[in-house]
Amino acid sequence: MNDLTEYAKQLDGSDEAERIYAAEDIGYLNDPDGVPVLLERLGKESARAVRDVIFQALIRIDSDAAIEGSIRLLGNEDPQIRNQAVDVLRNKGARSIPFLNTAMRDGDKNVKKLVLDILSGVPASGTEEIYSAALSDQDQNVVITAVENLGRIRAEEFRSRIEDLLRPGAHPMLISACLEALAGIGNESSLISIRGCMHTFATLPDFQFVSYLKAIAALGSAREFAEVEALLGVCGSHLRPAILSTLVAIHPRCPSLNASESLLSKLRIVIESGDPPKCRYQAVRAMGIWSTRSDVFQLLVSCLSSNERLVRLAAAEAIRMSERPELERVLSAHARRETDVEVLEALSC
Amino acid sequence: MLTRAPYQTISAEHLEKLGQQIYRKLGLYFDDKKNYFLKTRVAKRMAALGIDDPNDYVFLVSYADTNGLEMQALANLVTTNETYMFREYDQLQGFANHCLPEVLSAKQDRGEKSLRIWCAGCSSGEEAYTLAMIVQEVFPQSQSWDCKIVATDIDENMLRKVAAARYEQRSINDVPQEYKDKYLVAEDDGYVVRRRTAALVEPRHLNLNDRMALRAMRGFDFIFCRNVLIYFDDLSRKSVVDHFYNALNPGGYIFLGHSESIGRVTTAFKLKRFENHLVYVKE
Amino acid sequence: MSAKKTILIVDDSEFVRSYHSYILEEANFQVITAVDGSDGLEKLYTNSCDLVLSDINMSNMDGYEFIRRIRADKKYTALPIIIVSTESEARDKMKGFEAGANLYIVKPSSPEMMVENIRMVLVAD
Repeated sequence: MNDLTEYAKQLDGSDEAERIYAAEDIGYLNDPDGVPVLLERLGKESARAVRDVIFQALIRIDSDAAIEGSIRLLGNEDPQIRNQAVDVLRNKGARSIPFLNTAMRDGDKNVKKLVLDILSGVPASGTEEIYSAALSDQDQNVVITAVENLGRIRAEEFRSRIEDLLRPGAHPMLISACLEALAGIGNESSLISIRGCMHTFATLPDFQFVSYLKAIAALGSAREFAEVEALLGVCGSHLRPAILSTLVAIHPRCPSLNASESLLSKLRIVIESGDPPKCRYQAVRAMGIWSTRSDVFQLLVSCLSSNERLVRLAAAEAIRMSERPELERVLSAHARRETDVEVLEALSC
Repeated sequence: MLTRAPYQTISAEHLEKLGQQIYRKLGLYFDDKKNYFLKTRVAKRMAALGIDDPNDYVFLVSYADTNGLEMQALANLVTTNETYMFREYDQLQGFANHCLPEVLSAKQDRGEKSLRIWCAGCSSGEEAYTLAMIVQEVFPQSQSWDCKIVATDIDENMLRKVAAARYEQRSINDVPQEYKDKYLVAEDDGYVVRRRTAALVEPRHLNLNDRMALRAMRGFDFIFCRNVLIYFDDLSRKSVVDHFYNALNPGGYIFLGHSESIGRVTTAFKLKRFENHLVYVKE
Repeated sequence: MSAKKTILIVDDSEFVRSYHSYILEEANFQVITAVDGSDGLEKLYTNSCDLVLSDINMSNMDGYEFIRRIRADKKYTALPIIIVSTESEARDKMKGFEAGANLYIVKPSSPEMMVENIRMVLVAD
């Protein structure tokens, strides 16, 4: 009896541990004939631990049979099996792409979505056909998932297709997905498309606003800085972290921008207010941009003594941007009194 | 013009994305209370690689790190390799106050008188002897039971240190005084574990990548494998944890490092909560 | 004024987690997120949550298993759970209810509908 036959027999045994060992051994055998054996067992195996090892074995078997078998599992009724098959195919990497192409062409909307989930961990090369089809798909989820992936894998070649999807009246989730993707791969023309679709800040619902700000943070310049600054005292407090991080992100692209007294005043209000600590952290960090100013420097020094840990941490980070001669003396003095490990590290770096 | 240090450009969003990748690929969980800690380590890696834009680093870790080398380099910076007695005290409290009494009580009900603990990747043995002290403290009857803490490691030099049971001051700084008095003896520049306690620990050579050797490990009530598996690749880590599952008796507990997530590696174990401790058990 | 309700969002898509978070924060909920069922269980056990919003297709631990494990814990038999999934067949919804979900929403849902459904389930609770 050859090894595979022996392992196949053990795989049907009554002892769970023995079935686990058998599946593992079939994987290490790396024989394509092991694939149908594993898949057959999967069809009747109820123990999660054994199923897990079967899928690990499919990863180890270096053959197209394992890929084809896993693709067939994408339509399985059991989500554990479907999702484990996704993991196997992800592990197979570029080798699975031709098979995924076929699945994308022939599969239903659920399979198409899973194909895109598989590709979410894979760089773009070789997948253009799949994404091109996905962006034109009738199902919104397929399109949205494709857009999300393309932004993350920096597929700039799809930039204009994503810009084209930005249309007033498109599903809000699709619009947000496009905005966030363009934050990663957009350029000046993207900003024009975005502004064309979004019109003004005033008309945007808050939930879309954050995605819009991400795109502005990545692509905006002085004009957008002024517009975003104006929102700080107007928008709800839950939007302040996004507004503040947008200002911090835009500034390096227009370093000569001076802070208006109005902006500094608004930042002070956030720092000293009862806003959540994360928000105050962002405001202090934003202040750091202008830390060469004496008044800002003094404010940051006072923040080093705040009761709120995140404010102290932000101040320790922000104040270093000032490069003032008294900086090290100030940091050392506060380091001697600081008890929080992270803030101490920030003061001591 | 102000120049920003690299870490100044790393945003909360970058850290969130990197945190997810670390969780996905190493099974390590970082919450946002450790953002500054993570930020500075990421900045170090960026500087080492000559990367200025944190977006480029996120992309590298997410999509261009095919051999997992960059994730390992980051892992080496975000984890501490030091080993000392009573490390991760909170977790040991959960073990001592809840899990161990529960297992012992169940065994007593069944008329069993054995307790087996596996300390996997034991290094120089501080953890194994910590567990030995806790067992003797929580369960004085362990003297009349068949109790064994199997301390395994791939490194023979480390196993010799385990056998010697002799430690310097820095290894015992966190040992509570009453434990020091009862279970350790000051000698020369360090401390020796008292013989009665040291006898609970059995050093044994074992390579966690040797699946046949792992299969031979069965019948344990507790497995400790803390801050070891983060250095394994995904598939190997899963394989080891699957073997841990088989090695445990039903009702047995597994402990990884306090920020390592068992749930990320396998769903075979069940999550339980005792007060503010989360633990994983084989049902 | 009553305290904000906390919603745990469980989805393996970073974008979906963010998008739903923005919607719920605008509707004055506090939000915690998790990347899959395992992460969701740990977050549930370490935070006080008033409602769970969960996807189905997730690596590691899928939504049905996640919900079954929640319901297996006596402490959470009444916790409101809403599935938000791309799967739209009747059999998927049936499975969701069998696992223990209170409601099943097919995504993408309109933000208004999502918030309305959440409020309805919380009131019923």
